[in-house]
Parts: sequence; structure tokens; C-alpha cells
Amino acid sequence: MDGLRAGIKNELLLMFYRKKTLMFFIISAFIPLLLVFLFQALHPILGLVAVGSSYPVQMLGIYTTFLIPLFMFVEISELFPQEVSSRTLKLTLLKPITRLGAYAAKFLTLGIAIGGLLLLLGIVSTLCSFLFGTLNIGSVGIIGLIKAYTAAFLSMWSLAALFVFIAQFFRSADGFLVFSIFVFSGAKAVPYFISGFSSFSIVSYTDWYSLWLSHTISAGRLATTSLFLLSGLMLFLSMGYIFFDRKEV
Amino acid sequence: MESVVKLTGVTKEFRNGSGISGISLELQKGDVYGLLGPNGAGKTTLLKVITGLISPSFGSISLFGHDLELSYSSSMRKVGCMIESADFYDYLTPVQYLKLTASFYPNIRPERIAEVLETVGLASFAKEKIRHFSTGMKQKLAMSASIIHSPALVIWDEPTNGLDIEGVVHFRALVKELSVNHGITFLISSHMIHELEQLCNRVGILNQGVLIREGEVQELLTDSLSLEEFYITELKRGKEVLENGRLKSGY
Repeated sequence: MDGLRAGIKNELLLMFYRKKTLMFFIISAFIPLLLVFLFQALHPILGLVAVGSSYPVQMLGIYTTFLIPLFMFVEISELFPQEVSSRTLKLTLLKPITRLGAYAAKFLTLGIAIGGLLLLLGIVSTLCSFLFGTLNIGSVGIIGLIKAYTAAFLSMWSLAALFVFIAQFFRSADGFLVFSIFVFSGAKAVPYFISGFSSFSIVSYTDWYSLWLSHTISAGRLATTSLFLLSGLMLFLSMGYIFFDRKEV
Repeated sequence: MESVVKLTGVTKEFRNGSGISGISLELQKGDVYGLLGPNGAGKTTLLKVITGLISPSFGSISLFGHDLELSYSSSMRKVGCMIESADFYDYLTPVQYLKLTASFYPNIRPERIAEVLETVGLASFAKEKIRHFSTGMKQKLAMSASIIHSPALVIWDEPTNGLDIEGVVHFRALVKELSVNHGITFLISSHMIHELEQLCNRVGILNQGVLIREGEVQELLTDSLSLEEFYITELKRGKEVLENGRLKSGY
């Protein structure tokens, strides 16, 4: 347990020593602000564009489709293929931590970072809707926001497990990054051609949080999809570990 | 005597046919053991197997009397390593890197970081980015990281790579100080045979994945003027044995 704790602390510090992680967090905090100013500028012209109480949820749509997956691919490429290619993985593996501990520390750190990014977005976009928003545009209460952001976290973390598994087959961070973007874009496009694909693709669940805001979705469906995401997370996480454990560095 | 490292019939086969074969070896507390061998002899592979970086195909490894696989974390708490090359997260400074390293071990005083940097002669570069370091400086940093927790066993692979003359002298003094005054056991692989002759009480010669000779330096040198002469003779003999074996088997 000490090894796991030290592993998570190490991975978190390494993540924040990397400039690109900080850049992602800074950009994530600024995008809602920039869009607010853009909406305010466009409001007199278009009329319909305005910031309301649903602004944090609108932002979530943009973030779970583009920014968080991209952040995830960059971080996974640093946590796995980059560590193999730069031969720094041994720096962790030679410490008093098991392979399972080292793998778990990386995945938990990724979860903390995704959670942190969502929290930052939630705070900034909520503040924006309070400070610059028009009342009664959309009606998402604080409970609704918490549900949406928690659901978004689960879908993003499951997606992360899939790409952590894929990362085990790469020794080049750039190669993984390009491949991941292609796979993600491809998986997003497939449901337009093959109906039914989205039900079985974790990639299609990036907007899953919206189900939690709907009043017409049954609890049974929410439970089924939650179990699907959780089982996907466990499956890809376990398969990824099998390959991580076999890695000879 | 207390057994620190014990290998029994350790074999590691790679797909290309290289690796190590049937290595049995025991290091006692306080030993300074030198591992010699030509390039590709399997020295790094052996060290990687001992430290769990790669799994052996056959054989068993125990550190401090415990099976490595069963008690990896507790065994590695007492081991300091520098394997293959000194690779780092180059966006860190030595202080940042050593803090990360220290977090894996209990009860390391904050002043210890400055102490080990001073020991290896990197104190004045403590806050510079590692990406600006030379190979020798990285080597020194790897050494400092491997001793920060005052380990009972230090495993160093080619520690003098990239070191200048002053660095080599410093390295020699460090090994002597740690082994004599602190009873630390060393397993060092190196091509610097003269260094090993001065430092080690025991050596092993590895050739084509096989430990062809090993023992106390004083005993091995009874018929040779120097370790270098002994090493060359043993390598020749090893090659002849291997050739004869191939001829007899018709290979």
C-alpha cells in the first residue's frame, strides 16, 4: 500500500512537472471564459446565443467530445509508450512497488487528472453562468450538474481504460497518439454507417451524462449502461495489465 | 555469513537465442562482487533478472533470504540499482527527481538529498534541468538515487560509463567507503577491469550467457599476474571448450 501511495504521488508530480499537462489545465479553464465573451459579443447580432444555467452542461459536451479525450491520449502516451521508449519505466519498476502497484498508480493518477479537469471545468463554467448568465435558460439544478459531471467522469475513465490497453502495444508515444486519434474519430463515425454499433462501443458513451439529465430515461436503462461502462473499464484495465506485466524493460 | 543474493540455475532465453544459462551464484553480506564479460555476454540480462525487470525462464532468485517474486516490494526496499543506462525524466532537476525517489522509502530526511548530491559531486547542479546534463553527470545522479535510502545491496551496471578521471576516482572511493564503513554489498558489472581488481573481493566471468569462472579475487589470481591476464586466459579457455563442444556434437 505504501508503494501504491508513493507511486500515485510520483505519477501526479511527474504529470504536473510536464508543461503540456499544465497547458491543458490552463486552456480548460480559459475556454469557458472565452466562449462567454464570444456569446456576449454575438448576442446583440444573433439574439439566441446566451449563457444560462445549463452552460456547465453545454461545456461538458464540448469537453467530453474533444478536449478530455485529447488530454487523455496525451497523458496515456506519456504514462506508457513514452516511458518505454525513453527507458524511464525501469525507474519506477526498480522501486519497492509491484508491477500491479505501478500499473494501478498510473491508472489512478489518470483518473485523478480527468476528475481534476472536470472539476475545474465545472467550477469555471458554473461561475461563468452565475456571473455572466441569463436566468432561466435551461434548468439544470446543482444535483443535475453533479450527476452529469459524475457520469461524464465514469464514461471518460472507461474510455481511458480502453486506450490504456491499446497503449500497451506501442513503444512510441507519437505513434500511439496518432493511432488513438484515428481510432477515436473512426469509432465516432462508425455509428453513422452501422446502426447498433454505438450500443457496444465505449467511445459512443462520451455524451452518456446527458441520459442522467433526461426525465424520460428509466432507472433500469441507466443501471444497464452504468454496468456496461464499469465492466468495460474492468475488462480493458485487466487486459492492459496482462500486457504491462509481461513488459521486459 | 548472511546471504544477500542467491541465484539457483537461473536461465533466461530470448527469442533470438541469446540470454543467460544455468547461473548459480551467491553473494554474502559485505561482498563487493564484480561481474566481467565481453559485450553481449549477458551481464545486463543477469542484473535485470536479479532486479525483477525481466522474469527468468527457469531458476530461482532470492534476495535477503526471500524469494524475489513473492516478496518483491520488501526486498527492493533494501536494494539500490542503476541498470543499463542512466535514463531520467529530463524535465526534472536532480532535487525533484531525488524527492520522487525518496518518497518510495520510509524515513528519509529531507537533508539526505543534499547529502547524496554532495557525495557524488553534483551539489552545485542541484537545481539545473537534467536535460542539460552530460552522460557522466547522469551517471552520478543515478548513483546518488541508488544510495539515497542507505540500501543493503547496491547493483550497478557499468557505473563508470561516461565518468571522467576524477569521477572514476570518486566512484572508487565511494564504493570503498560504503562497503567498508557501512557493510553494503555491491554487485557491479563493468569493463573497467582495473577498477574491479582494486575494489572487488570476488568476481565472476560471464561469457555467452554462461558463468565460466567465479570466486575470490585472491584465489583466482594465484596463477596470473593480474585480473586482466586471468580474464583473457579464461575467455580463451571458455571459447575452446565451447568450440570443442560444438565439434563433438557435430554442430
